[in-house]
Amino acid sequence: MTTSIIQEINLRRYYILGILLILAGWQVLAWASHPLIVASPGSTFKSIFDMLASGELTDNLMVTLKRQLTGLVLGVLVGTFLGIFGGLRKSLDSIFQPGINAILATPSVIFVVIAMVRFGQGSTQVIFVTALLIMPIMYLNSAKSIQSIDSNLLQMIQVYRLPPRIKLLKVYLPGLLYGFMAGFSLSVASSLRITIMAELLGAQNGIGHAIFVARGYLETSKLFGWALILVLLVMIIEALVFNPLQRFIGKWQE
Amino acid sequence: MLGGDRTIKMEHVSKSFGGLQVLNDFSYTFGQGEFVCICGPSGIGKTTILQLIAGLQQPDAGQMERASHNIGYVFQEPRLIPWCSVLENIETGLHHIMPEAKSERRHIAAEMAYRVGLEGFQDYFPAQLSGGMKQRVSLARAFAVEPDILLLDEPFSSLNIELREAMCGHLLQLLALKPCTTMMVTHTLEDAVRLADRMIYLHDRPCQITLEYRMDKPPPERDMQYIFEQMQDIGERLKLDKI
Repeated sequence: MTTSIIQEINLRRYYILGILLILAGWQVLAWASHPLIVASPGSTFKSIFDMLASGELTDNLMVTLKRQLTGLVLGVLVGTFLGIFGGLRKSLDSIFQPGINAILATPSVIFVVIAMVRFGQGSTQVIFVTALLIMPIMYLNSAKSIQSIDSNLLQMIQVYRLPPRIKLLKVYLPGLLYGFMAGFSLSVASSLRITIMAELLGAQNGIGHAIFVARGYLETSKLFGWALILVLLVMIIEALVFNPLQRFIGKWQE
Repeated sequence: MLGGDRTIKMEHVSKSFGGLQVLNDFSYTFGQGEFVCICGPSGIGKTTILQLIAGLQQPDAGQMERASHNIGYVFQEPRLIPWCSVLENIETGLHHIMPEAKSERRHIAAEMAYRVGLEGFQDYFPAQLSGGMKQRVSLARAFAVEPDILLLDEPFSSLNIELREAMCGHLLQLLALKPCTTMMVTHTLEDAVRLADRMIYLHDRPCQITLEYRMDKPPPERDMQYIFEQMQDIGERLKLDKI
């Protein structure tokens, strides 16, 4: 037990070392090139504080998070709902598969462009694209988790005549939850990336749009600032959502 | 302790899978409280017989005669619910028998965990257990329902020799405590000679009983020499029969 804690602390130390190496490399790169191409860590942090002070950061962050969350919830609901049916019936799964594959194979920019034609610029377009691209992730994970409830396990349950209510509670729901959580963890981080991409091309506010504007005015330090904020945001989400879920599921895994 | 008729009669049973006729006009009676081992080559139909008895398969023709019983089934793989603890897994069969009595279910499950030597592992998940421990959970789950019929499908096949010995010991102890009609499929003649009252050897397709063999000593009195002699005897008879 103690050794594993010491190991953990050691690993954490290396993780921090990794971060410091990136910062150092970044600084060296900034010295070596023009500030319009690579903003230095110092100017990046300064621009973050400036955006924080002016309210630009919070405003855009709130807009983006709201869109991301709405798109995520819609995508998760539809994907899981269809996934349950696809998991229970092989024929339905076959019907859904071409559509799911088509969405996954199409470059997401195409959906943004199509959605802009249909919905114009703004939140609807962003939410639609986010939901559309999250849906297949949730579909595949929930369908797979139901399909992978072992036929051997179902036979065992038949022998021991498990009542339907217990069967649902102890076998089907946890089986679904298993895939649901794996898909959900993936969806949370993906949805943020998708939302920002959709905003970049077709919205008048939000982080994606702010990045678009910063690029236009050659505000490289702001661009780097947003990138850093997004990295931090994904890390926070992973620490808050992904890691606890992984630990929870990890106990069951072989 | 033995109440009700626990005899299992298979009468003129036929069963085929696709075009493969596994059983044809197969009849056999498993006597009450008896321990019968079913031996024979792979794919001959041993598991099919257990599944017919358990009601997991229905015969194409013929009759399975058995009253409605509590069945304990130890499968070849442990077949534990991965997200349920050891205790919850042992409880599986009790939900049907005592749906309302949660604390009693827990109590029985804890006792069974103790009997198979898993008292410190009650809250572990299957993935945290070794292969032998998982199979002991499966054995405890089978005995928790106080089975009238116990079906064992090569329960020791994935275990090493030491674990096998330990599992055989647990099985005999539990059977002494809670006697029931037992059918065990095994590849190993030694297990049959050590544990069973009777051994049937299946051969051919559709399968036939090539040899029926009775052990004349109760299991505790069977020493190594007895087991060895019986195994030799069975071996010779099987060879003679095939020629």
